[in-house]
Amino acid sequence: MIEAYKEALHFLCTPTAMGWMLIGTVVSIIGGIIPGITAKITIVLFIPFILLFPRDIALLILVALQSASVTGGSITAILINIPGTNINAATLLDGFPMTRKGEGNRAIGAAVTASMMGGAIPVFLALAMIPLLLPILMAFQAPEMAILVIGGMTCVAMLTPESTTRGLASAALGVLISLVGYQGSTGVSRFTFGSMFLYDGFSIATFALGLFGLAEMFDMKLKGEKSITNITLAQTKLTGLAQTFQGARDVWHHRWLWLRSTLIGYVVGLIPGIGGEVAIWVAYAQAKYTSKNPELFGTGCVEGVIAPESANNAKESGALLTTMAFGIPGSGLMALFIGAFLMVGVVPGPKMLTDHLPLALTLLLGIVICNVLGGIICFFSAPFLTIITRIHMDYVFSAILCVIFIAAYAVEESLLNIVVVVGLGVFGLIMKRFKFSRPALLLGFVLGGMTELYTLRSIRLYGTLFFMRPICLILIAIIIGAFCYPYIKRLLLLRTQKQV
Amino acid sequence: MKMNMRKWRKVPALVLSFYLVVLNLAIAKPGIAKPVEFYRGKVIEFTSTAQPGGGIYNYITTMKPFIEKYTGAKVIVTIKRKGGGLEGYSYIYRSKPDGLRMGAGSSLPMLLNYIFEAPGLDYDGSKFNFIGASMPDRMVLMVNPKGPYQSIAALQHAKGLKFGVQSMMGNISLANVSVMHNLDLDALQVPGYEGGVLVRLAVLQGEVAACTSSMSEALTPAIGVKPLFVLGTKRDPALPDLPALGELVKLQGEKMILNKWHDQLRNAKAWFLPPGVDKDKIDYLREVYNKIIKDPGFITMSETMFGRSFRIEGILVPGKEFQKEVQEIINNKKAMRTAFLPLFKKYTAIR
Repeated sequence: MIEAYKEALHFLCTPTAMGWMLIGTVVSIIGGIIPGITAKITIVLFIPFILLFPRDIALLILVALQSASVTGGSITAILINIPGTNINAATLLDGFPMTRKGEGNRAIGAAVTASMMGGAIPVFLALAMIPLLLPILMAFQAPEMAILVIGGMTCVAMLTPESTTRGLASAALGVLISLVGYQGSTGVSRFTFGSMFLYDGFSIATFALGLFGLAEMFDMKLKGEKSITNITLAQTKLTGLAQTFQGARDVWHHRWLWLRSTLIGYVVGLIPGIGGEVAIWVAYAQAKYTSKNPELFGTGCVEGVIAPESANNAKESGALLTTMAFGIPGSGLMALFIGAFLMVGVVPGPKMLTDHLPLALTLLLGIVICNVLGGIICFFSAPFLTIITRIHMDYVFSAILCVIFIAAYAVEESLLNIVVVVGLGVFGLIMKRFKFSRPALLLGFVLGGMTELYTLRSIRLYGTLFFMRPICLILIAIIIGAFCYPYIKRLLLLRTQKQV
Repeated sequence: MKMNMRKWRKVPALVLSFYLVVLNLAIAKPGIAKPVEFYRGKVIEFTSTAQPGGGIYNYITTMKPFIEKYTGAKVIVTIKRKGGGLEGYSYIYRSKPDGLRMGAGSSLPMLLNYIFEAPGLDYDGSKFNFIGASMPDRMVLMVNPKGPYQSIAALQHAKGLKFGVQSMMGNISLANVSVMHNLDLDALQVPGYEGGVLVRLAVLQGEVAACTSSMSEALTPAIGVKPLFVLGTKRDPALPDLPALGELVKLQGEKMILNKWHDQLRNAKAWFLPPGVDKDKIDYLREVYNKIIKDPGFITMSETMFGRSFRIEGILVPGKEFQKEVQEIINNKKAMRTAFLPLFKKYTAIR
């Protein structure tokens, strides 16, 4: 084992390996920043050239292309309210308000630091986790996934404490929209109106672009705002890199929050089929639950940036471990990884950790290095990138509109999707004006379909009492406990105050 | 008065010339370029019916440089993947039949959508022109190597078996219900899994007893499930040690016919053109395909891309042969609907 580590480190420290990791990381960041271009697309574009490189370099480039994409996506989410990737959606809620308050650099500093550490540090857990990994994978079947996803749905309540009715209405609408499309379990097309465009339903990216990105731009333009940031430089306490470093210090200050969120993301990433969307919202909800100032969430609270950004990068590390250790891809992206492994003659699975241990360690340590490189690049680029928030709205609005429309087309390869995004933009604006929760709608949309899928499958496999399994009961207890926790805390506080 | 015979001799010549001119005008068409000249310098739109990174997309990526090499045309790849490829098949079906619009897709799902009239169907599967096909995979039953079902007898003795599947009436579902019916299993298939890999994970977890998969997946050692037999009456050259169902169990009557169909129901990565394309272009492209599959560069690239040998017999099927194979399946459309539609209802857990 020590020899394998030495071999891996020796290889990673060569100029060739470092150079390619740097190039891959930069491409990954750019791909993440541009909405519609995800790590999956950059990897697909690279795969035809994979054979031009030696095996280890080829796989290292793949890892680099994936590592920093989510970090790059957080920048777009924070600065212009458009998630660069699907799993940056929760970062919008507090990241963009921070930018509006003139704290864009701080938000980026916090996001990038949390992402970097969230992606890098769990890798060291990885090797320790491997003996536990197989039992976790085998234990999490359809009923457990159903309870986990239903648990994610309960986060809706946490997102809308000011008006539970409106929050539930938004979430219910999101669930309704998630039903659109062909349902493989029942063989029925729902609300497609005979249109092939609606056959696969809507995508999360479309929702995020319209409901958040475009709606926010419309809102700012209609209000006659001059720039994204409505505070001048003179009014901000810190600017530039100083503010970015403050964000990094915020992560240290909230290190337990970072740790909890990282663990949530990592565990969710290990389990195939769950998706990063669950991880980020659960992380965000637990951050709000455990915060001393939950009322600040949604108004520009740095904890609301740290939690989802730690979770989303940790999730990617977890997914890669499951892919390499068991040959089970947790997502479409990981399925590409498996294809790439096979192309270069490496069979992912338990044997990879025995027959190709130095390679496995090279890739795992490569994730660490690429996350750190990506973090450093984004960190020091932040002051330059936040300039966009001070440019006059007339220029920014048209540029962002172009980006949104191109991303809308790229997501579905259809011009009709641009119409959908515009429609969602108008709808998002109306929701914002009437104080209906857009995050609740997005959460309902993301989790509604998954809830139906896993619940139906669980009932067909195990009957209506599918939840009477040990792990399901433990998860239900955790969810009820988490739900009751704020009330119990308030009760105890009241009791203590009375006694005083 | 002597007649001027010279003048009169000219008349038949004039009449003949007149008729020859009329005849030529009647039968002459504007000059048609030969296919080889037609394709040189042109742009071919090659549509993938699957998403980037998938098997079909990789197939097109492998073919692309060789199509350009042998035709002199430039190939642009477009993607139409909605509805599990339905959008793409429909798009290619309705494309202008100028020989410059073509596509690639999984042949069996395309045909089964047509045979079972899938929701959203917008094409006639019998009218595509096939240029060639790769990796025609038959279906294989997969079980957990550490599970309790290591033989057909074990499956037949068990009660309340569950098989995993993605959708109700695809090629995997077809194979599942065939196995259940032919072996008289007390089993139901549970649809709704998001992908073949997750179905195989469910087999490993013990959530389902078994599943069917294509031969390509049986050849991929990554996921850890074990193939038990290949559906059909004869073994597959890709896995010659794997017995066929017809060898293991003596089937009779309609069960024998159902099993025999599986010899033909192969899922290949197929290259096809829309209906109405000129025959000489089709023949030309088939010749191009025959050259491509003999090109050592193509063989090496395919072996690397797909991780299996491309030198075994039958892995690359010429267009004419594949067209016949498809036609035989189409000819059985009515019989297949009569046989399989009730089986889908009987063996699928809908509740």
